[in-house]
Amino acid sequence: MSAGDRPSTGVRTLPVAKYVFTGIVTLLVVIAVGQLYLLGRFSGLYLGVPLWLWLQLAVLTAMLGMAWVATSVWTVANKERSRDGHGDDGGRQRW
Amino acid sequence: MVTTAQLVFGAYLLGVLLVGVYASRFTEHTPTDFYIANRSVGTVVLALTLAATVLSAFTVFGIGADASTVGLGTFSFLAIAAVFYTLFFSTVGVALAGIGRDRGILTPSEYIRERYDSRLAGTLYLGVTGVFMIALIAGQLIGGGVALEVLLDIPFRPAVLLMAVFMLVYIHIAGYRGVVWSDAIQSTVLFGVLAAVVGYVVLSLDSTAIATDAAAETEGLFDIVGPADVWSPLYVITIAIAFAFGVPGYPHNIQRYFSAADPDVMRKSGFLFAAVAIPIYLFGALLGVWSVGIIPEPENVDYVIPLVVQELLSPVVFGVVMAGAVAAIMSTADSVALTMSSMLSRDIYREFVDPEASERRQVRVTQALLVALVTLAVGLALVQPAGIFDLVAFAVVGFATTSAPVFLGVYWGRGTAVGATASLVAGPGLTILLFLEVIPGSVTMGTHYGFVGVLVAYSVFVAVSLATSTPADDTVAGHSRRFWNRAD
Repeated sequence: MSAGDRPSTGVRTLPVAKYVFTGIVTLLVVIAVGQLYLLGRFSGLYLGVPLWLWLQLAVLTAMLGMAWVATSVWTVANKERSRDGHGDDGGRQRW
Repeated sequence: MVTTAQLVFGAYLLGVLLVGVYASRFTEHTPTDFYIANRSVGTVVLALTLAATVLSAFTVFGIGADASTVGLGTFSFLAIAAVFYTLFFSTVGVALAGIGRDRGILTPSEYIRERYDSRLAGTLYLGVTGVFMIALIAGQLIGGGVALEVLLDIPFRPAVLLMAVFMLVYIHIAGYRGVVWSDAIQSTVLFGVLAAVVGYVVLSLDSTAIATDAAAETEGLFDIVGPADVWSPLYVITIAIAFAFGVPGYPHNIQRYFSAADPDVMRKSGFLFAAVAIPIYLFGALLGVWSVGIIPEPENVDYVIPLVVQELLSPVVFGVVMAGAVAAIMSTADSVALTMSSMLSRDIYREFVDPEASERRQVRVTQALLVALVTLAVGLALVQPAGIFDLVAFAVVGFATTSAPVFLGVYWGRGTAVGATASLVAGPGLTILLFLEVIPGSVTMGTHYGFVGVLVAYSVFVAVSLATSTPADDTVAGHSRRFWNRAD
């Protein structure tokens, strides 16, 4: 993972990472549902595309960004934990 | 007399075949190489093969047909689902890739068999997904055959046979490497062609006027719920959830996880997939709604996208669009055929018939099974037991109902063989009964029937697993991961 992808030190600790990951995924679900109720109010066409769809594209881009952060947090926290060498993983092999 | 569009289309097929021939130079006749290219696939190719596999005939024909009749909700649910796919690819996909590498696992049914230490669960998984896989291949061939007949004047039977033979040749000689390389080209062609047509409509024509005409023709076409209020938030989110569990759970996608070169490749390819697939969904949906303003009364609503291109652009572009459409079809069918034949060879032939079979023999058996499977799918396609879109939608949600033993099995050590078996019977069984309308659709209470099947499959898996004996630690160890490396 490049330096730019790496979340800050705080989320590398497992409890914080768990909260951040769960929070982002919950937020993703809320946004996925919420947009369907809210965007319909925006009518009108721009370049032949309804305004709500332009907004939905922006929302989807933000959702993808959030998903990237969530999975980065998850990946980094798990990697840090396995590097610590005291992960209770039942002797399972790691890649 | 051969038309320009037919020539362009033929040249495209030949190009794909040459890619297969070139890939065959690097292909070894071992199961690891023939099924998953020696676990060497990089980010871009993995993302593009995931895209090509997921974007089937439905993308080119189904989205356009849906959007032109019921509005843009098709895009909403597919795009939302694609965002959630990235979470599955980055967690379950990464875990399965690691487990596959550690344990030498090559196929999804082999994973099920080893994870649950149960030949029954592995064989049942193969049997149930096999039904959906045959439906998916046949659906693709029907879609391609009808489209080629209607749009390129190639009769249905020769068209189906042509696609099947080309596909068989490049899989037969180059295995998974031939499939993923041709997939990479096919998804690039599909993206480029649809982007170019949308760009042409926006930049060279008056897309606002076209959309205004379409809105006048069909009131409510551009509303978020569509003209017939089909796309209620409940319906969109439930079908998106069904797809989010279904698509990453495709057996042919699981086989792709096993082929990733490393974990970072798996995660990044998931996001690159979304970056490719979401625009393709958008282009298809926009061309679908705009088609109402361009061709208010099309001969066949299933082909509005190619018909729009035929109406607006040159025969060369039309030929390329048809090549893109057939690309989407073949790239799904080839992946499914290879996964199915490799599962049959590795998990039936090697497991039950000849456990001492050499690697070379396993590959030969896979190649023979490939011919048999494609022949079966061609036979079904020629009979046309159901419409293409029904078959494809049925297969997608059907796969979703088989994913619980895989997804939960990866992270939940308490999952048992009995739970997996019960889930593989109840979820797909209910879905099939709802699809055949043996159980009335009204019981789904406004949700998509596939969502109900997924809910039942996961609930049964959890409930039965909790009610049966905890699996032995040595069975679970090595075939599962902790979601978090350490429980705090």
